[in-house]
Amino acid sequence: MTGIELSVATLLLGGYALFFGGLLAVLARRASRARQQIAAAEALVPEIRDALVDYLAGANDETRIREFVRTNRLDVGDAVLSFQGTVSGSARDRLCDLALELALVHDWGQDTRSREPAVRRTAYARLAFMCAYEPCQRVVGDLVTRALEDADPEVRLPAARALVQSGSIEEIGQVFELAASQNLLIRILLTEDLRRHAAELCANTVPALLKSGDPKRVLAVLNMLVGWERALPLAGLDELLDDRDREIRIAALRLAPLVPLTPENQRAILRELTDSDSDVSAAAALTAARLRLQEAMPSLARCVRTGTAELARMAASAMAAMPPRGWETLEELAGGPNPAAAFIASVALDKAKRKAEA
Amino acid sequence: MESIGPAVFWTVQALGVLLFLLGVGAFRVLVQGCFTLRRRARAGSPDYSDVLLKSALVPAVTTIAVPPDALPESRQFARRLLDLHFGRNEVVIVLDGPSEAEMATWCSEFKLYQSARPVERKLPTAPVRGVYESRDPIRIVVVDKEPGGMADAWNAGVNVATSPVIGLLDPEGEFSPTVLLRMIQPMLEAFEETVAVCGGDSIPAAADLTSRWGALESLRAWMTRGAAFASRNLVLPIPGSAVLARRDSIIASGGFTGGALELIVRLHGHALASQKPYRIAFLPAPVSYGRTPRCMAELRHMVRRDQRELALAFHHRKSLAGPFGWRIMRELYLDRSVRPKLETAAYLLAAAGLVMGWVDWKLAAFVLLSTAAMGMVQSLGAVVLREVAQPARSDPAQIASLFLAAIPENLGYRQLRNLWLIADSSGSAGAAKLNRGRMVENHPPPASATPTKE
Repeated sequence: MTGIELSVATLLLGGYALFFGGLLAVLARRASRARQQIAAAEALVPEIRDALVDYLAGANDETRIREFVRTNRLDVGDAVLSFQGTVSGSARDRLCDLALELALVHDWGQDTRSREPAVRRTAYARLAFMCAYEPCQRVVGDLVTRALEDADPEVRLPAARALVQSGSIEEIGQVFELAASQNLLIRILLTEDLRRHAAELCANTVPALLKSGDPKRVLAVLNMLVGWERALPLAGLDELLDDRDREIRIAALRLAPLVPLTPENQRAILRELTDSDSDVSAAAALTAARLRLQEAMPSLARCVRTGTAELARMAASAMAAMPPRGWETLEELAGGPNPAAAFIASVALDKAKRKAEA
Repeated sequence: MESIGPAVFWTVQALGVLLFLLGVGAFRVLVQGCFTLRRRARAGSPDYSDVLLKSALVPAVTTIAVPPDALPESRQFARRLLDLHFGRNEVVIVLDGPSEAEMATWCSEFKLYQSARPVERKLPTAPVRGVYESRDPIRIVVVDKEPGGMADAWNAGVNVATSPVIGLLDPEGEFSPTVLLRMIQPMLEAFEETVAVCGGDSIPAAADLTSRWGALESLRAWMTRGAAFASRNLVLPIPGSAVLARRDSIIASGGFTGGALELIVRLHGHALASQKPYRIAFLPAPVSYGRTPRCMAELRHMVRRDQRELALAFHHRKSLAGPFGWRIMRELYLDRSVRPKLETAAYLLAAAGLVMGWVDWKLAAFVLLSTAAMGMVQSLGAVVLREVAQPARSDPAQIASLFLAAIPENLGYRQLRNLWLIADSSGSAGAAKLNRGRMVENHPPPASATPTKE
């Protein structure tokens, strides 16, 4: 009995040990080869880049580049992509034209059909860069547009980025709509890309989405607009400032300093300062501070006296941002009978004065 | 007297078989971890840190630290937290009953002034004596509170935090400045569902044998608790790993009762009880890892620290995760608590049996195969499987040296480690823990239990 157990265990463990030993040898060889390849590529890539820089600078001799393509096709692809974000205008067109001429764009088009998700994603990311050039767009066809409906979000992302780069305003609007329905990561990434189209989007797509009635989508759109952190020509925010959903009201209040201050918006902000939800009132206090709304002073003072600790602190900070009237009110509150309000007011005033001195 | 011989023989044989099966089970988990890592490596995970750093849409993170004193190392750790690359990172330092001298040191270090910042009482803690902020343009909040223990201090940190995400970094580990940017990414991929993210890497090996044993130990834990458990959505942090957790989830689950491991067990338990889809993600990236042990004393400290956390979590599994505690901790309990005891018993009985002639050499060899040889195969496997999953990570010489370190590891160190694990698995915590009594039940908490602001 023991003999059988011993034999089985020895066989099993010995087999595993041998297998792992063999596998280790294979892996070590593979790792060593990979390191050699990486080292070779590291030495070669600067040369490829030099050749590409010469070409982009106007040299028409493609012999060296063609030689590199023949021997190290993948590295040339990587080198071309390494110019993403550093070249634009005619230099980018020249680079894209070269990639087209060397059939690299066709290779990447083929790669989009790969079973390996990583290969597909890389291919789409490369095509997204190439799509800035019109002849490349024609070669790629509707591959990128169709990728917007791909099951893999990491494929949808480069496709959307390609459209933002080269698409019409309708297509960019389509990307904005897509971004509002995607996960937060994709939304953040696309929001950054869409920032430069903010004005055009605020003319059509954004108002339509804000009127969609879907609270989740409206909230996502508002957050994207806030994420742009730039002045926006958006009208009709007062409706959202009075929305039933507190999250939407808070997001609209955060957006308010970025849109034109209309009398309707101002009235809505002042109303929100007296909202029963202290988070909404705190957001309104922050907005009032950013807009330097002197009309908000009585409501802010009331928040310091009667609001929750966090609301009182926000309201005091808002008044501290509006000297001299805000400072005077804070001084009055600091000397008042309410000890909590007095402490909060004096800390906010002290902080503001220190900041002003600095 | 005559019946003792056969009894010892059969006991040793049964122990040998049991240990062999436990070893096979542990090896299966390693293979599972390899497949998970391989799938992830194939899918790829682009690093969007550059965009995330600039975006205003990324949720703010509050990194909490509970330094035990005001020594330069503790203050240095706070500085390292302030240096993290992240758009909106706030550092909350909770001082658990500091002396006047310690408070003065912290005040002068960060130019603190008493703040009007309110402290919510979402989690019960010992009274807060004061909240301080810095006159310098740095986002640090220092909380001075009555002594209440580490868990109590962590809970006070959560109460003070204003960000939706809480970051926990191991003061005894190394972490890269971009750790938060990398860790937030899996959370953003499914923000509603992701309760927490555990991220990090195993300890890197140095030239000496002790550090290699430490690296092997850490590698096995990383592949098991991180990679393999990720495939079952039961990820648990390993020493040195970083944790990001949603503040609302921490509060809803009842807060801290111990370290990061207990918190994650509690979060699993609460999420499973609520019967809603959730995930605790695993980020296998070298953003955070434990320090390499340079001598046996450091290795002993590393093993002790981990084992005590595990023992406490297992001991309190019912109060942490209710009926799900056993499911979450089962495999770790078998590997870290049951196996060392069985193994030591098997060695003792086999040695005594050999001397007395009750056990033949074949059975003794079988025991050695089920323990030491099985351990070697596990360690060799962990090294190779990791390379299979994440190819060309390290240089071949390093892989080979780690591979070979698995042999002496199981011929001496393993047996010593068993004794360490047995000694440290009593689960008796010296410090009083709060919240122990709160059970996780198999239904969602009632709405009335939702804590309110003070």
